[in-house]
Amino acid sequence: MGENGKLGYGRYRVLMVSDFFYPNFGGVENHIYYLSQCLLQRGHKVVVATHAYGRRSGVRYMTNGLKVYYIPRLPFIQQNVLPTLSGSLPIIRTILVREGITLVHGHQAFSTLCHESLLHARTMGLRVVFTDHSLYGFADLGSIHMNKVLQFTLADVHQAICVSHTSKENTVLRSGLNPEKVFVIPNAVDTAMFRPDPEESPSIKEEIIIVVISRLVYRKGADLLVEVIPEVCRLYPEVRFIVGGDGPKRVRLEEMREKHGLQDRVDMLGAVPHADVRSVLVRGHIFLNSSLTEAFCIAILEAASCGLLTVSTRVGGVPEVLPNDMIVLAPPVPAEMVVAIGHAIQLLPQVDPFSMHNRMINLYSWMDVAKRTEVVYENALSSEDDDLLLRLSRYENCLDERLNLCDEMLFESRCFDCTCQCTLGMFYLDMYMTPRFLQYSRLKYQHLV
Amino acid sequence: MPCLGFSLRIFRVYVKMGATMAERCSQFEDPRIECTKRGQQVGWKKVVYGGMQCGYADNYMDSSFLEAMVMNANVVKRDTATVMVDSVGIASHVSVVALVATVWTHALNGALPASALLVLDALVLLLGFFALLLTVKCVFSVPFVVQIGRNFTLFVSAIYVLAPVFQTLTRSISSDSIWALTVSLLVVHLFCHDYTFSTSPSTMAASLSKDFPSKKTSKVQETTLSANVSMNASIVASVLIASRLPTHLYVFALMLFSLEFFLLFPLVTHCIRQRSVNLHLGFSCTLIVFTMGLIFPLSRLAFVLFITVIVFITLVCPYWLIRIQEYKFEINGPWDEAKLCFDLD
Repeated sequence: MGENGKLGYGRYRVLMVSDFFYPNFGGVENHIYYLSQCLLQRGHKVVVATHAYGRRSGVRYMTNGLKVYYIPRLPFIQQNVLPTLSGSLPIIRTILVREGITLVHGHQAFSTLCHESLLHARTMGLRVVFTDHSLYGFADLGSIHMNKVLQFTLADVHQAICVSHTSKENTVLRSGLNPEKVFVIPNAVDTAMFRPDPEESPSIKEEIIIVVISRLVYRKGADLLVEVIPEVCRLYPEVRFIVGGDGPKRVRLEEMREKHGLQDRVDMLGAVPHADVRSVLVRGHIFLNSSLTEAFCIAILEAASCGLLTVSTRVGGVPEVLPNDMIVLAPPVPAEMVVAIGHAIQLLPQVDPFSMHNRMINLYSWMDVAKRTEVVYENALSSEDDDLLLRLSRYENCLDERLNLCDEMLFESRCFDCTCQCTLGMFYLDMYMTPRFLQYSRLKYQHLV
Repeated sequence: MPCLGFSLRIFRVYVKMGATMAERCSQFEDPRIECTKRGQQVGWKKVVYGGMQCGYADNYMDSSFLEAMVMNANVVKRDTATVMVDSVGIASHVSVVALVATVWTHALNGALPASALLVLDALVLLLGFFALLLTVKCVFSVPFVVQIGRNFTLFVSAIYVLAPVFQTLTRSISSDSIWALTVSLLVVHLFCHDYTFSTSPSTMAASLSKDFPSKKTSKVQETTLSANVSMNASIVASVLIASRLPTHLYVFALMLFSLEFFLLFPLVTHCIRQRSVNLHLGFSCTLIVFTMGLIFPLSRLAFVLFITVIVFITLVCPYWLIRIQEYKFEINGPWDEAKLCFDLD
């Protein structure tokens, strides 16, 4: 073993922590999986920790020996575990010690497991990196609380990563972090999985198919679709829609379909499993994204990789995602969206799905993401470490001059927590908890020992 | 066992994914070196495609950083005078409640006979009607007056018919409980009352609805809910107090009095406010002074309390609001959730 906690040949031992991981599906889950795979291939050691999903509890191995700890804790809301501050310390510490982890990488701002693990890892003197995957406002009560928690967590991290420049601006504002510490590394797309298949879609001379795949909820702009689809169908008789996804707004879309008599022109597929997304995408010519807020939007990448021209709302990080000739942007106003779709229909004869796919291969790859993440890890490992007093003073900086009760409680619990952990907790754990946990885990994770 | 089968299935999918990826990752160069090899340095762009931008590290901060941030865009600047004038509406409603409570106390003490109360009812009703007649610009046509008359007759006769029921309603409950309940109901009434109806001119409401059409529906629903809660609280409070009185006629007279003030009075203040602000101010001040005069003989403590509340509402609260204005800090930018500019229903 070499200097700075690296292995002899300059490789890292990383623990990825988030409440969100497979079998759940989404942008964060994908990001963690692909990043881990690429890091493994580049010779690093990567372990993933998440909470148990149903009966999937204990340790699992995935492709290339990616080890996943499904920590037996119950999610209580939106796949998050109950926030307990120190409740997860014993098991996280055991994982860190057993795997010889040198760097902990947490994902997603509203994952409680991530926040707790970063705190504990920091207390144990490990390097800590955090990736923020979403955008938050500043006004509503939920955001205010979330931002406060994030401020405390980010006071601790060595480096942070955001998925787009807009996301970086948002994170810096929310957490008051030094912008130099925040890196922008986008998501990517598995271009080998999302290939065009022109055989599947009809010729654009016969009909033009517009595909929508998203959860049908307010934030994804389902209400915008309700206004846009009938208008587009009225203006362009050759257009047909395929809508994949389910959600509370599905009823409104079906109402709209019946009200305008569009049953034969709007196909509602219901929820589409991620494995089938490609087969739905290749049936169309244009991909329509109507999100009202989006930090990055992987769906657009998947569509572009399948050779579809994208029409999207100009929100959040979306304008940064693709070159201007691969995407048509419009403000989230029905009339403007209809104009944008008309513009896309005009552009369609010049679009070659395969050349688009080949461009995507050059623009995005997970390997590139992994390499850039390595640079962040390197910075984190070479940054100087600081002691408990400095940490406490940083926490104090997180407090507003107009101190309120909630802040104070957060601050005190944080200080108490990390001081206790530093002194008594670790000693106690070494003496007592670890052997007991190992005993327990011998029964629980038999294949491990 | 089914767990194992499932993980095997998942495993196979990932083996496939991993295999395709393994084909394309033989390179092991540092992206920073790779970039300098690729070509000349070009200007930085705010995009995330195409890998690391040449010559710029991932934590590069451009001069355009936070350029799109807007601070305090929707903040309304208020001045003390306007806020104070607006707060008079609230104070006048508080004094209406205090006025009704004073009359209740007199009635319960037996200081106000039923016949006097009935005369008072008729007087208040006539005054209110004339106030409406003078302030509302629309013409009073015959069918309109007939309709009002019919509604009013129904209203009064319903109270009269129900008076015996009200009178015996709470016989098994102690007076202490009734008082406690009434006070809490009045507090609820004051907190939930729709003050915008009686204080704000309608032009402002119209401009609001023009700017935020999507917000309008939810706002209207909210106000109707809280306004309904407030109205019901006041009616229940009136019923509770009326049920303590000795005769049917007494109950009827007191109920009529309370409902005139709780249900019909906001309409009068609304019309006065619509007519002119000065009239509204003058009317409110008269009302407050009149209420003070009524409370003073009843109890010194209540009098002091009432004055404190009125001063707090009309002087301290506006000053407080203006003081905390400087802490207003609102951030907007491209990361905000887009607002839909059409009605969702």
